[in-house]
Amino acid sequence: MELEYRYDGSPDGLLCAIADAVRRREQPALLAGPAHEGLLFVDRVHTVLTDEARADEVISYFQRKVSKEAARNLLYCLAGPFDGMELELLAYYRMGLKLGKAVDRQHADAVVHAVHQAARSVGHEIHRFKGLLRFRKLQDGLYWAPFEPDHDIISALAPHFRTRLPDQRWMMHDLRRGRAVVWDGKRLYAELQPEMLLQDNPVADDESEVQQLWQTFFRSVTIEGRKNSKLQARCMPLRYWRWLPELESF
Amino acid sequence: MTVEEKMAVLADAAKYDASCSSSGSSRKGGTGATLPSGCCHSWTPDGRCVSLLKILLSNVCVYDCAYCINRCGNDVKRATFTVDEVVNLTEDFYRRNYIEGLFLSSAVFVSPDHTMEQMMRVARELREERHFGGYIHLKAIPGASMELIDRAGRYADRVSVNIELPSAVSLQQLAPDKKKDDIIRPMAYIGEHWKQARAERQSNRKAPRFAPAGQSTQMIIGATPESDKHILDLSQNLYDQFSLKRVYFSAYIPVNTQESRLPVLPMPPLLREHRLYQADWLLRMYKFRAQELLNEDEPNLDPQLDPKAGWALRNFHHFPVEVNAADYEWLLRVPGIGVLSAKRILSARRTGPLDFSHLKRIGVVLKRAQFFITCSGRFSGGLRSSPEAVRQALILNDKPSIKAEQLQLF
Repeated sequence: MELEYRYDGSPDGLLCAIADAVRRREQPALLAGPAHEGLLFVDRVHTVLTDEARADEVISYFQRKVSKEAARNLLYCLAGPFDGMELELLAYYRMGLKLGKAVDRQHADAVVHAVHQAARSVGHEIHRFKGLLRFRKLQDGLYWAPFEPDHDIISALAPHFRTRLPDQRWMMHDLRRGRAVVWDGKRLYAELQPEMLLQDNPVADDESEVQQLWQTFFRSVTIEGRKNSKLQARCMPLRYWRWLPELESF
Repeated sequence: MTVEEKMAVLADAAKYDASCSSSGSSRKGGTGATLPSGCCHSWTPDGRCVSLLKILLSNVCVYDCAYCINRCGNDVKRATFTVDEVVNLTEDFYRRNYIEGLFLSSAVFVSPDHTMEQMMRVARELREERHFGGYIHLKAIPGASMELIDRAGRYADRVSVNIELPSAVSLQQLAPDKKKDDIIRPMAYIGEHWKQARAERQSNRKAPRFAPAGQSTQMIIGATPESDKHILDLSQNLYDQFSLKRVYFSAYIPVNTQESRLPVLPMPPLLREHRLYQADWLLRMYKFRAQELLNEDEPNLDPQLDPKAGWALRNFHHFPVEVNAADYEWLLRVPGIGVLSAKRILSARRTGPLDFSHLKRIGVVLKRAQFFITCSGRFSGGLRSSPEAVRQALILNDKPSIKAEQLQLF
């Protein structure tokens, strides 16, 4: 019997779909978002209801039953382009419940490998932006960090900057997704209207001076005799350059 | 002189220091924190990463070292930062997430003690006045008093002394003002104190830190006639005796072209530097000893082949290694298997025997490993009868990405 699961394409929707499949002990032949054209022969289609609270519950259950590491892998996969790997994530979830924390030691298994690969590319970008995020000081003292990551990493990245820059107000701003996180000195929260904080709020007076100093440093520390632009571009892909003040003149 | 002009001079003067690592320390509280893994913030057009604000406090120097751009005989622009200027720069950059912290070195102005004292004050001001929790790496000035180095170590995450050249003879020749003893003594001192402070902190969490990320050093490669064997033996000794975290190699770049004591090279020996770093990795992460990698008959690393493959070919009788049975130490010795894949093999083979497709998923570099392993007794077609045949195949498969390959043309 060919079974098809349909969810709304969102990470929460997928988590609810996984929970449905596990609870009903079903193995769908297709688990896909609305964009997919569907199977040719289908016996039954199950439409998944997306419920945010339930999705959170699925993750915390997985973390309790399996491990923090496995739950993080799942979350990282959901922050990336998971379209097309839904069945692998379902299989990983099932394996996790069966094997417990040993699931992440199955490096030779195709499903675990695929999940680890996907999670790693998200983890890699998170680590990259710990270094590549740049704050600009605005008139009212807010430090604003615009960036355009490939994956939806803003919530995974924010706690790093909370420990690092606790005594200044800042806002991380994912321009690609229009999402923002604000630290006001006490609390970390999602800002739904980041534009409001930027209105009538140009950069601070000393900002261009500091950027200038940084550019001078960057130019001076380069060794011409070892020039290797290819290596530079590999370590720091061109798509990230737009928001780096040191590369504005390149 | 404006701060910006000083920055241009003093960042330029610091650029030949190879180290930029911000790893090995975990610190929290106040403004800033450090990540044990380190963190790169940018990459300059030469492909080197920028992690720390790497500057000299001053390039006014009383010494006259042949290889150094800042030696007193050179006619270069001179500048000196004030303590406040460095502190403000560090904080301004840190708050914008440009950097992971500060790497402060200096030419020797007035006297070694005076220089060291100023540098120590920068670190103290950052920690005590600004409550700065980021990474601080200070260079210890050869000839400075141990008391100052001790105080510097209380505030810094890493303190390091540059050994500059791989032998006392070369040092005597090119840096006559620096005595070998002035370099070795602070190194021994830092090594000893680092060990002590670490031991104390294990029994008492409140014990003061001393350079928790340990010490490193740097030497210039290719300016003097020492062989790779000499350099690696020296590195091995430094790791063994002074508990160094890292030895950095810096390919010699001719900055003083008028200097007759130095060789003329068409290009900096970047490939040699690369091979030395690979060998250094084998010492630190793969439990190799320097004596295994090179000997009197072959005192230099093979530029065409990475040192691990070189070792494996010289010890061809130990191979092939059976992946499903070999212990960790032997897995580590296989070219193409790294620390991570060796550990993964250990945990993955508990579930069942591994074959070549599994190894590929695990991350083993089969284009190198295939000549040296079996999976449940099977080869993957990479079997060659002689080390020479394997060598040819490896070289064919493996072109180092470093452009300095051109060097071999000369």
